[in-house]
Amino acid sequence: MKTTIIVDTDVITEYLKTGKGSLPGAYEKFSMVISAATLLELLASKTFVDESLGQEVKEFVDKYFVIKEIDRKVAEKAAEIIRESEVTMATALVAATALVFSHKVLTNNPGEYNGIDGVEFA
Amino acid sequence: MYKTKNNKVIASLTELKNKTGDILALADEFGEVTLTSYNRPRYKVIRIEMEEVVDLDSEAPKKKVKVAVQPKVKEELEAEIPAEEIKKSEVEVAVPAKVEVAVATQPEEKPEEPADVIEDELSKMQPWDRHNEKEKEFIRKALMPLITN
Repeated sequence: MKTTIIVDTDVITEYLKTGKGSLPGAYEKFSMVISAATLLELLASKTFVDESLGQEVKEFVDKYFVIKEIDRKVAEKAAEIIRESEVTMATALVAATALVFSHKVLTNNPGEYNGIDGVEFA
Repeated sequence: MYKTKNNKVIASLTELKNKTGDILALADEFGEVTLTSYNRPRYKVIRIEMEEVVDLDSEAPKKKVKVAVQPKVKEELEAEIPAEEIKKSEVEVAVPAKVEVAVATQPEEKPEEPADVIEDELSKMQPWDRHNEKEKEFIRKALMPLITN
């Protein structure tokens, strides 16, 4: 059974833009989830004013990832992270999801999580 | 698997794994099949005449079946199966019916935009910047006490 990891937004963005990066390899090795915050970040791009493109991305996400919702537990953990580390909300939500569900994070920018205790990287 | 408006046949790598015979039959019929990975075109299966590429042993069977039956991807893409192992009539008769069904039943609601146009649009994607100043300002304000004396 594959280990589950949480994939950060920048990994997916890199793949969508270039077709390359760590995502294909991760797909082979791991079961992948994303935070609902990542879905938000992806769809917030003005590129997806075009509904057909937006639909492509949604289908891509649905096909390869399980979306972890932001429930009370994740929200409270994210708030704690922001208080302690002063990171942005999206970073805090991804980190909180990783910590609550005990998943390692796949990211192109591990430095973004500096100061957040307990976050491990895939 | 689907056929675009400009008669380009598109299939995914997963479909290649599960329906290899169908994919190769489509390549035989349409000349080439584009294979996608994560909905992006990555590879092509192209029909070629082996006689033009390889010197065939005069003692070997003259006709070689280009379409393999066993669903193992690497071996099927490279293998030439001698005519004795597979009855040519089985391939010719059985596969076209399946191919016609597979192509004909492609749902109309498949996206009209060719995969290469979608890929081009995504390459120009402007991603959301989670570290933009408004976000940082929000966090700064959020960390301030609600009540100041």
